[in-house]
Amino acid sequence: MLCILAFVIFLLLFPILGFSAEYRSLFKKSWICVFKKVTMKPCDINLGQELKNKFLGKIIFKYPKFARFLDKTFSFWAILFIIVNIWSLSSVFLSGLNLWVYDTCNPVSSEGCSLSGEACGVSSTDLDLSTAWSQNKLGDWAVQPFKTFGDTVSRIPDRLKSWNSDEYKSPTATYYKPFDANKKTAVEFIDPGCKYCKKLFGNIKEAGFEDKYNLTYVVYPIPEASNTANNGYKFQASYTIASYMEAVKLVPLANNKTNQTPDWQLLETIFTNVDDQGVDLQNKFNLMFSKKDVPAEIEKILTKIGYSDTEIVKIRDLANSDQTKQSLASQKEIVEKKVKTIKIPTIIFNQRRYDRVVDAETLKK
Amino acid sequence: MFNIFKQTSKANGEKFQNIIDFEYIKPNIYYFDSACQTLRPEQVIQAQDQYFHEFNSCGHRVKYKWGQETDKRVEECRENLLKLTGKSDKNFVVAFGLNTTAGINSVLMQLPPNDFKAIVTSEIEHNSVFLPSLVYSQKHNIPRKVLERNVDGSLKYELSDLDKAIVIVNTTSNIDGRELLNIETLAKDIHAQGGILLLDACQTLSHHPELLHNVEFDAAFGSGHKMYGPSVGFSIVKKDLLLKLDCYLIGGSTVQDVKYDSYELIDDDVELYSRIEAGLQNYAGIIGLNQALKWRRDFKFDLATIWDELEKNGFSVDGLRFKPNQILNASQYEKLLSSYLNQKLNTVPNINLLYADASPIVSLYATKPDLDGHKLAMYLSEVGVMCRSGYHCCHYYLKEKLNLPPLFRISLALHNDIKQIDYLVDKLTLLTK
Repeated sequence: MLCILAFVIFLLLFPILGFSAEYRSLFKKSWICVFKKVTMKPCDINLGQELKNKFLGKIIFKYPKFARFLDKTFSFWAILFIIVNIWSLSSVFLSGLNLWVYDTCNPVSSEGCSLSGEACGVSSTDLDLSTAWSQNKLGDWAVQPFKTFGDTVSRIPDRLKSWNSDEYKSPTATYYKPFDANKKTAVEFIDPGCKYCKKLFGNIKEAGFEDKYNLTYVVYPIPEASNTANNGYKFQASYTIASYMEAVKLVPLANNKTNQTPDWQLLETIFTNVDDQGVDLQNKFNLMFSKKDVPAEIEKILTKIGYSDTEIVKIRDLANSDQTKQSLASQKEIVEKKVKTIKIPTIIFNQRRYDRVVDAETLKK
Repeated sequence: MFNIFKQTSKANGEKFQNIIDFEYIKPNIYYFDSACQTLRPEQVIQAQDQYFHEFNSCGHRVKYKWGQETDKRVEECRENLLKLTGKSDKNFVVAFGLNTTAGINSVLMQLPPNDFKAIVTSEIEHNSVFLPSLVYSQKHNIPRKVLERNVDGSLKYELSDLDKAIVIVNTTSNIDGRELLNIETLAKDIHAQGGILLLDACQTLSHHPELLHNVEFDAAFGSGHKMYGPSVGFSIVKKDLLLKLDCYLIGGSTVQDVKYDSYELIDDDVELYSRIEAGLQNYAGIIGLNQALKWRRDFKFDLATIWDELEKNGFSVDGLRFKPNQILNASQYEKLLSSYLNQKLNTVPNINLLYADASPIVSLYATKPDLDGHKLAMYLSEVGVMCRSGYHCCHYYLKEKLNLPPLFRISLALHNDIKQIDYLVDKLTLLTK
């Protein structure tokens, strides 16, 4: 067992120590020993024993009792160490694969991965051990890592393919600026409540990206089943705002002071408006307004945009209509079934896909 | 750390050159594997360096100055080795080679088998003796006898065992330092029975060369690296025996003339060593060995410099019959160290010594379970103590016959001092208590 442990350790250290002749020799010895063990031949190399003694020798004169305890239980610790090493090695591999495929090392909770780009995570239903135990779903819990791995592997082709933004537009797509057939299309997948979508919007403006592309969006209030206080969404106002954004598309703005569609005006107001105290409007929608006040606050914006009271009543009705719900559902399907992103914002342009906030410099290119 | 080698003689203020020759050893280094190879005094290292720097050349029949200087020093080494063993160049020659094992093989394997009825060895032999005797027996279909040794190291034998026999044994065991105490009688008995005596003397020549002075051996083999010299082997062989060898390990430096399909071996009396000294030799090593022999010969140690320390530690020198202000030679100083080590080891709990008497070579094992010699050696290595562990190339005797666990061996040499022994024993006690 000790030589297997030695082999695992040397295997891990090989990229660092492989240039040293001494370690190459130890690695070779441990491999021979492991090979003999695997082929049921006696291992005549005492490498494992030697390494153990060398390790214990470093502590036995200072902590004799502890060293003797380790000596007696070394095999146990060796097995444990091997298991932990294999587990950590596979975790590193899986995290690396996830980072490459999803741009996050943890697809279950992308915000938990410090290596991933800035984005709001779309949480999947991660079954923890206590929940699995209480719901008698231990089998599901046990296969969950393999299922996640399988999902990741199945997504590898997506990572390699060329992305055509026109295939992922909303059926009710509008553009930040009037559509220009000479420009390519860029599609961003956003949640009005996500601060990173706001940041991406800022980068887009800074880069003048909206002038180079026909910029459109797919609105996707990020679902979060466990968040019952927000009716199952990550941000409390997102679904309502998204509903109004869809509704205003159906009510022409007769008194339009700009050449922008009212849904873009609504979105830009939420992303850019900051009050005298420096509190931005998106934050207010997320945290300060009560859920009950959200429609009224949206309607205040609509009034500023130029809608009349009568039109606003109509928009309110449309926001709660099946038609709007259907439109949002179809956009949800694009995100979850076609794009399959787990991070918002996601943006597709120039045949590439980015599952994070893209910086202004990249957007300028 | 207290270093006795920096002391001058209290008696007359003389600073012994030989006792400061290990100053290069770093502090906190405790080397106790001299049975394998000793450390080299600075003088030996310098002698080798001098060869490389000043007269780096081939020896043997070279006509230019450097070569003649090399030859001169090599011949001096042959003479000093003969002196060390009390032998005369009238009857013996010294041939150099790789090491003791190579020397034994070069003589034994070229002995004509028809001249002998048996090959005899003993059970406590190093593999350098045990295996060649086995191979010779198998190759020539000659009976092989493995005789027992008494507790004191003397060989148990009957005269009939020696009838026209090649007897090949060690004179000092590399396991526990036991000496072949009945060597003089044995030699006489062997020759009376028409046999020959070959000796593995590599441990004896380092610790107690006087043992061989009155012994009529036919060949004795040693290694410079166990005698404070470089890694070079040598064989001290009777001329009569050399002339009997069926020489097939030949080539450069072994012939006086060569024809198309024949050759003449060198038969000049003073160059008979060439029969077993084929090819170019390690001249730097031989010159270093010559310096080592002189160094050991001139070794002096003033007992007065550590007398108080010995008394404070409760060490009794009664059995050694030393006086407090005595100037010790190399053998005497080693005897002092051996005795001191023996007394100290008797205070260490849970160990068994293979040989109870004082000896510069000590093998032991811990009686605690899961604490074999390898563990002891590796643990002690972490605190700077270097001792050997395992079966010391005596697998048959230690592993098969006595069924012992891997042993822990301490071997002393002239670079050691009593403080080093104290340190070793203290650390060993921590592990075995």
